[in-house]
Amino acid sequence: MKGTKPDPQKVEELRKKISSVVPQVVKAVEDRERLAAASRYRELEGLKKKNQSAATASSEDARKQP
Amino acid sequence: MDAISEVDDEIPEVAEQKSVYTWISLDTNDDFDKLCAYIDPEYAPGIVSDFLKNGLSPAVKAVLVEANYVDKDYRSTYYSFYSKKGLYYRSDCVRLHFFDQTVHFDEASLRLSYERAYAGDVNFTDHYFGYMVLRPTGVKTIGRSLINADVVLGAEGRVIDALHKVHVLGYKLLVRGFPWMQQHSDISRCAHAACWAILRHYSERFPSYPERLVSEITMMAHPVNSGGLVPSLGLNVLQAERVLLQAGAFPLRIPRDDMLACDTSFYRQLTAYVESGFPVFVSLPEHAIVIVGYRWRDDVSPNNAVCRHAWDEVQHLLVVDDTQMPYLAIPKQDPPPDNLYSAEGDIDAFIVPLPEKLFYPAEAVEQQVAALFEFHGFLELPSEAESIVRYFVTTGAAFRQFVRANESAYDLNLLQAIMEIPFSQFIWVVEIATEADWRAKTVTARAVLDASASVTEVVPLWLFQTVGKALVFNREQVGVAAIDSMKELEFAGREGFVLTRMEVNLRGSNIKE
Repeated sequence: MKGTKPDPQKVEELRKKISSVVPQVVKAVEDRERLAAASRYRELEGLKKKNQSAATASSEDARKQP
Repeated sequence: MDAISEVDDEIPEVAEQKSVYTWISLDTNDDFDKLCAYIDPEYAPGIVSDFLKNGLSPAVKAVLVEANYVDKDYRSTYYSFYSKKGLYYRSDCVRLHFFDQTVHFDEASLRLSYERAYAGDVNFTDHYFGYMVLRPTGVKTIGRSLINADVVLGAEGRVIDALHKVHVLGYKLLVRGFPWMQQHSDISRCAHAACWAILRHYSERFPSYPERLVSEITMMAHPVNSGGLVPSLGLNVLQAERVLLQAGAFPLRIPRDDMLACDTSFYRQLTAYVESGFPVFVSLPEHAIVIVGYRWRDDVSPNNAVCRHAWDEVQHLLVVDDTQMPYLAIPKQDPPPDNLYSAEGDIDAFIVPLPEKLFYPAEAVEQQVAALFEFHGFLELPSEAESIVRYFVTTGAAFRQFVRANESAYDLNLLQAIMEIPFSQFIWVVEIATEADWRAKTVTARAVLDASASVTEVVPLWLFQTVGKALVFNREQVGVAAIDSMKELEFAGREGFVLTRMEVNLRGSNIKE
């Protein structure tokens, strides 16, 4: 690869500055994933309740059959 | 023979058949009302006419009505639902084709002609604006439609579209657009229509995605195949996610953080994915739509001494909503009654159907932006406070294509480096511009990040460039930090050169009057 190696001291200073970004990246991505998981859970619970009430209604109908 | 004669006598007189093809010239948009004379009531031509009158630009000067059209999407629902009902539904559809004033039709030969046609090389593509299929369902009759944004009133901005082939009268016409249809209102609802639009765009745009018909999409929303279509009350986001996942996409769900007064990161990510050419499934309260484009503000946003992002420069979003004509402009803030909904007021969550091998999310890129400004010791960068940052996904191949098209702006050593870097299939491009750059559609600096990187990597860069200098990173060895492999390329005599803003994923609409 063409190009020259930059001044090592400047690189070291840069490393110190940018290394703190990784925890921020990981936290931001994980926080958003937690929000997504929470909304998925709420929707699943909603579907479960809907299915339960439908199942209850149909079993009551079945009991009423002669 | 006598028996046959008897049978013949009993055959009722056949009613006069309507022509399969009817050409309607339009002097004004009110002439769309003529559709009612040629189209049967079950296709609701009056309602369709109102849609077209109010939605299409006067550049549409003729409609070719194609009766008896077999539409694959309607047929999929006909076989699995409508044919099982007591009410009789027809199996065929009507298709409307839209042309400009240069195209004519000869009824006797059923031939299209073009004013400046030359033998053997007739190309109607630039004069054809797309089609609309009408279903015989009485209500919500607008089915599979593909209309060029250039003739849809209000569709100003940049849109995600693809080239679609259309066969009619022995011609193969090409039209750019994004798929759109109304929901059936019984077996498919708004979220089905939104998923269908995304998946049809993908199957037309990318060969790796198979075509999915409406009935399949309706089934895919459920974990168990109930054996036939049943009327639906709508989908939640989870079910839409399931549909996109089953169709072979890798859906990433981004909910808005309601604990924040304004979740700016949410909208920045939304812009980044739309800028990347990914149509975004959006959940609104009691509704679902697809975001397919945006329009930049006429001038840059006010400078509040903080780094501005592409979202700040968006005037409005363009959406595909099954209740409206496609490419509807929705504002960022103005709520009803002036608008149906607004982006910042109503979007609860979105799903972006990503391709495989895109592991580095927009959320991570947003966080990396601050780190990029730390390279000011190596590159001449504007300060964060005076910068406008824009980031999007593209492919390594598309990036090289862009560089090749603008090679006069590149030093030969940099050009060689870009052609030799072993990019992953997908890359994130981050562009840093000043206000002056933004107005001139140029950038001060451009960084290329690995879209297949892990979120735990420190600045997964491949390239960071300005006009006069570039930093190139070697990512060919695991365990070596990006900055340890960094090399500098400096270019002399680049005064007067500029870096053009890279806008490759969306097409600017050009509304024809």
